[in-house]
Amino acid sequence: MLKGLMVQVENYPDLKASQNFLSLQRSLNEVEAQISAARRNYNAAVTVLNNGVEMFPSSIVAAMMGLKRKAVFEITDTERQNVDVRGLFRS
Amino acid sequence: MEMENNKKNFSLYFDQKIYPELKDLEKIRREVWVSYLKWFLIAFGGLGGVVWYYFDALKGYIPWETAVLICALVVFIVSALLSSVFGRSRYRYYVEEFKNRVIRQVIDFFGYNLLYAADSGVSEHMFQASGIFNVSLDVFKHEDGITGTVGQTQVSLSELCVKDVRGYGRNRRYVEIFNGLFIVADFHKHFKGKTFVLTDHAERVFGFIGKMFQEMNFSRPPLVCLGDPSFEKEFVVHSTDQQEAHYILTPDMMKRMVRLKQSVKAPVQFSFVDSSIYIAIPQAKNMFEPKLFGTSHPRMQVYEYYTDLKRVFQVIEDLNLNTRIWSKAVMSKER
Repeated sequence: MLKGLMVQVENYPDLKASQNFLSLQRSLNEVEAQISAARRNYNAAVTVLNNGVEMFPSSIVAAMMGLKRKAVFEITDTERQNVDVRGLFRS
Repeated sequence: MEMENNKKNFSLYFDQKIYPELKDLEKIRREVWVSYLKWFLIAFGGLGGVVWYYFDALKGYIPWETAVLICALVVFIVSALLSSVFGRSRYRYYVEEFKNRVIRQVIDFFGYNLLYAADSGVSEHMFQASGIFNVSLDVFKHEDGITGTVGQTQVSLSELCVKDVRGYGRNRRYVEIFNGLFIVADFHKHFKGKTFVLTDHAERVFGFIGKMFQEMNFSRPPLVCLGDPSFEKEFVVHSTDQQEAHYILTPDMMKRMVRLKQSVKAPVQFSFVDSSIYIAIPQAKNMFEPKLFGTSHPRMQVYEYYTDLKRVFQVIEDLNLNTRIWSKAVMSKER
């Protein structure tokens, strides 16, 4: 998301020094960091669950409780595309 | 190349600012020696006289040669001890002067906004707040405190020696909790919970059974699984907030922490509390102490202080704490 934004900013040197732009840049970084943390947290929990479901002796308890393997979270190509920040400000 | 330049610049700085101070301090160093020697001779003379007076009585019990040897040895050792006790006040004065004049100058060379105090440092309250060492303390000593900003990061660091008294009666003894460098720095992200990154002894020694014990450690918050094998081989992570732990410990941060542990060659431990990072680096070496012996190469001695300080400030860079691209832009609190 931020890479795309930075490429656009190269064309407008004044914008880089703007406090509003810096705040936006920080917010986008923050959002990215938080989303990434949530994804890693979810995937770590899923990995622990899957290990428990597959490994003996916890696998017996998992089978008795009807627990199944879960898929880890992966981002699709469309979701990987940069967010249209301009569009966000227009709306 | 940059390292060579720094070395060259420091060499120039040494000639201009530090060497004149060292020349001045050399007088005090000699006074310390004279003081020690004076007290040694007084003690040696006094004790020697007493021993000489009673020497005939001693000869009756043990052979003459053995008596001379024992007496000479005892008088020498006791005199050396007495001189070290009586000459200590002069030595302390030398250490204080040396630190205030030389170490302060070496710190100034780095160009950061830092204050140095030889006899203060990280407080006991801060040490306890870190939560790295979950034990009671009986002895807390700090020295060589440095406070200020390194780049954009507010830091407070010092050498600490922390001990606890264990046992009762004859079994009463001092147990070392921590001895080394303790750094408190403003972290570049906001967080509310507490996250502890500790040396992983249990899992390394006992494998998955060790991990089970770690999970049952009720004195710490729950275990965090981060999914980085090289990181989890070195550290065990406990946190009050699982997601926040992942937010703080990004894959890049974990790599940096492993690299830091390898570079300092010590079981370094971290905690993230109240938007600050606490770093405990155990080390046997007592940094910034002047040498009473062997100062024929003062440049080398001072260069050692420079290297030690550079290594300390490098920790901030190694952990990328000066990168302020998240919502916590600047230092938000004063210590």
